[in-house]
Parts: sequence; structure tokens; C-alpha cells
Amino acid sequence: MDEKRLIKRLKRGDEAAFALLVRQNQGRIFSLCFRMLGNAAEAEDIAQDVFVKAFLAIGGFRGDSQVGTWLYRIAINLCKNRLKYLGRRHYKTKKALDGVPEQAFEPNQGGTRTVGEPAPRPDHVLEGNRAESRVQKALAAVDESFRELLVLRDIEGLTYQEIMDITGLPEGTVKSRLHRARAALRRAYDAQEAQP
Amino acid sequence: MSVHTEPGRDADDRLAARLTDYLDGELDDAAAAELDALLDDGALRDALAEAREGQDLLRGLQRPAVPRDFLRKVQRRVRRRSGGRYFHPAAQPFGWRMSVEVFVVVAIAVMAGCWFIMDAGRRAAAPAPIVEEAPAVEAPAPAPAAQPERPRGATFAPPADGKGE
Repeated sequence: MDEKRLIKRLKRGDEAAFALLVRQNQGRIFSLCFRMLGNAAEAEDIAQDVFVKAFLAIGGFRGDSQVGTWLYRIAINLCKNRLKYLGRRHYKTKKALDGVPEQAFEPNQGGTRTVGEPAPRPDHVLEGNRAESRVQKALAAVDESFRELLVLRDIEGLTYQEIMDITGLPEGTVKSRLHRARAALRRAYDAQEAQP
Repeated sequence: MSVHTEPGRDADDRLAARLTDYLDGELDDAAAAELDALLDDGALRDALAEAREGQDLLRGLQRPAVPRDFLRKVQRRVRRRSGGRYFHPAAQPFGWRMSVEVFVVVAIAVMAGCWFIMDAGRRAAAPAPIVEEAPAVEAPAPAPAAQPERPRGATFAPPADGKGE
């Protein structure tokens, strides 16, 4: 459906249009929340709130940016607020990944098996999950202002223009901070490796 | 040369931004060659390598699966937060395709249709009126004269012809 038409229908309170909006964006929004918060239950709660807030505020949406970008902006703001709240409640990275079930991840692109293809070896799956967990913990360890750029650019693959729209930062700041964020992530990952 | 130890310094910020452009492959040939010359500096080369490795770490991440019934939970939350203004089951008793208003209009149309059909059927089934010759109209009989009320205690007076009732 054309985005303008979708917005028009959303402004009328059309439930089918809302369902379409959620289905089209739930994967990206949940992923962003999960990477920002590091906990599946918190991520689900915030991701639900993103869509609720978007729907109730759709009347004020002027269409200056894409709906998807607007949803990302809401998600980032809600995640930051939640992190502040959790920080006040002494929520630390030890809780990260606590709520992630074994099959919490979709298969990699091209990772789906075809008929006759052998199943991945359990030890490989386990190793993959461990690596994933280490990266997630490293991500949780970097500064929040770094994390948002890493998630938006290197995980979600947004353009710099979209990131500028979402964060309100100038291009130079986004790029310089992103450079530092990548380096900080690498160091945090090494620190995870060094832990027993 | 430092690119990440003193945040806020303009020269470092510009260099850090250029290193990001370099990793993204967004520098033109001249700018890339200029940066390549700067990379002879070991510290800068290390900083670039560190950033590249950090970027690579995130490349292999899988997308987390969306929780089950996510849409239904969001709809329920919208209903609750809006005080039932949106997505209330009572507002759409026949699913999202038909609201109460649409149902009322359809119901009235169906009832009106039924009434017309039944009425037409009733008219077709009713016997045609039989036209008979009108009977001769007789003059109405004069109303009997009201008998005067007999006073209490008055004796019965037989009719003048002497016959009883």
C-alpha cells in the first residue's frame, strides 16, 4: 500500500492499516529495541509501546520523513528513557540476554536449509549463540550514545541522512562518533573475551 | 595521532569522520589517497583497524525473532490506552471488515427488502374483491318511540287492545 494512503487510513483509526504498519515494521523495531536494551522482555514491552505511541500520535505526523524513520525515532527515544529508568533501578548488563530463549534469533540470510541439506551441527549452533551473546554484551557495555549509532548504522543499515533525522545530530558528529563507537565496541568485546 | 582519546576536539572529530567515510568507501580517489598517506602513522592505522573490527563484529549478528502474538498484544494495548476508543471488539462484532454502523445500515436495508418482498407476496395471495350487484336500498325503519319511564309504584296498565304480553 502507498505510504500516503496508509497514513490517511491510520489517521482515520483504521485497524487493518494499523495491522499492516505493525507487520511491516515489527521486525526492525523489535530488533532495534533488543539491541539497545539487551533484554527480550524489555525489548518487547518497548516495541509494543512504539506502535501504540505512533498510532495515538499519528494525527500529528506531518510526513516530513518516512513512517519507518519516524518509528525508529520513537523507538530510540523510548529505549533511552527506559535505559535511564533501568539505570536508576541499578539495572546492569548482567541482566542482558537473561530473557533470550534459545530460538530467539531468526536464521541468517541464506541460512535457511533446503531439503537434503544437513542440519547445522549443534556445537556450531552453540558456538554461534555464544559469539552472538558476547557481541551483545559488548554492545551493552558501550556508551548509550555510541550504541544507538552502532545499532542504526551497522545493524539496521540506515543511511546517514536517516540517522541524522532520527538523532538530530549533524553529519560530522554522527560519523566521528560512529568511528569512536566501533573502536569502543571492539575494546569491549576484547574485555568480554578476557573474562573467564 | 589520536582520534578517540580527546572527544570534542575539532581536528580529531574531522579525522574520525573521514575514517568513517574511508571504511564506508565514500571517499573519492584523491581523498582516499590523502588518507592512505596519513595511515603511515601507526597509531592512526591501529585506530582504523580497531574501528573496522568493531564494524565487522556487528555484521554477523542475527535478527531476533519477533515474539509471538506481537500484533494482537499491541492492538490490545492500543485499546486499553485509548480507553476503548480504538479496536474495541464490541465496535466490530463481525470482525474488522464490518463496524456497528455498517451493520446497522445493512440490517435496515435487509429488513426493508424483506418487508417489500413479504408485502408484495401478501398482495398477490389476497383474493380479488367480488363485485356484486348492489342490493336495493331500503329506507331505514323509524326508530321506535321511546316509552315514557314508568313512575315507581305505578300499576301496570295493559295495552289498549286488552292483550297481555
